[in-house]
Amino acid sequence: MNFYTGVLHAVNWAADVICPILGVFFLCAALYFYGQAHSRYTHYWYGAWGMFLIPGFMRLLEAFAGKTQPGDPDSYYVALYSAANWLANVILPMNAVVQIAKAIGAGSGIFSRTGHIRVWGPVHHVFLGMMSLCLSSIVHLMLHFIQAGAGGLH
Amino acid sequence: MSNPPLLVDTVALLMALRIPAALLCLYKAALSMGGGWNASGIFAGAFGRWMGWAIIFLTLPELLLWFSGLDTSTTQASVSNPWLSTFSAQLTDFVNKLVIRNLAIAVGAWFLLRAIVNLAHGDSPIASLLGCFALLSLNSLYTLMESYHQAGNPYATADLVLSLWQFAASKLAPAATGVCLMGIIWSVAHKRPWLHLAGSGFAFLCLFGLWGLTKHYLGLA
Repeated sequence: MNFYTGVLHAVNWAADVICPILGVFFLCAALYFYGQAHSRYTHYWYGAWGMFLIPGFMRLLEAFAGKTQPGDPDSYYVALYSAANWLANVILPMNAVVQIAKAIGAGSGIFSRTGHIRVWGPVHHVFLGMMSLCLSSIVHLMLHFIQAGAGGLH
Repeated sequence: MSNPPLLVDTVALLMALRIPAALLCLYKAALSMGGGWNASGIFAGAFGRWMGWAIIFLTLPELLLWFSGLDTSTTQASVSNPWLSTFSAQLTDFVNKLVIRNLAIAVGAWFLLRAIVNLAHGDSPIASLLGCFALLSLNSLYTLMESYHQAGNPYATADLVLSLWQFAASKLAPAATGVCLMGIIWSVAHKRPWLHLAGSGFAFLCLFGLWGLTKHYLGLA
């Protein structure tokens, strides 16, 4: 019996056996609450996906943290920076595609669970999609303004 | 001038009993680990104290090297009195066979039950589970400490403490990242805050880097 092996086996069991089962529970909850017109369900939906993808997320965190040598003082900063880059340049463009699909859905009303269609619904999603695609530019614009203002008012 | 035999035998007995004493301290440390209410509380208080004593008992010969100016030759002697020698052997046997190999495992089973009760109360079961694992693996923990123990090195105590930290940072911290990930997903599904788990998950993976950064700040790098 070895402490490290025991801990590793317990964590692996939780991640590989229990979490996918919890994911199924979350999917059931998401479907049930989707049927209730005024209940939120997306947190269960994302939770279910997350539970199925835990090993993948672990590899992702390792990839972010493994960009530097283990004792490098910059390793934490580089890991967070890589995560921010990944979110902004991989996940947000995907979110843009989802937002466009949502805009179409909101305009047509096929996703409405209450029968109520918001007039500005599609515009809201299109705007969010464009913001998602432009985040890097928005950050650069903000930095430009800050840099330009650093010298004070003339 | 030779030392009185009674004194030599007493010192030799105490030196012979330092290994069972270290094992008992490890047992108490594992109990303290499981007795905490959350994982962060493990490192404060009784756990650290008992681990400290276990390390001191294990590295006592190396600590005595710092006082080699005094006559410490009696610490090298073996017990000459047959009764004391038998007592030492039987006490070592008692600790090894009863406490470490049987009692610790039985108590570990109770900590598993405590983990489930923790869960039922909505508390974290991590401290109880770690205590359970530690009690079930006391022998291997001792072997691990022995493997880090550099006999004859006057700095063995400090080296052992650092080696145990490196073991925790390199082996246990990545497993803790996995637990953080599960906590993140659980929190997302229940609409609870999770950013602190993401930050600590990264920190667990970058512990050596953060240690390098801390030393760099203090000019120790």
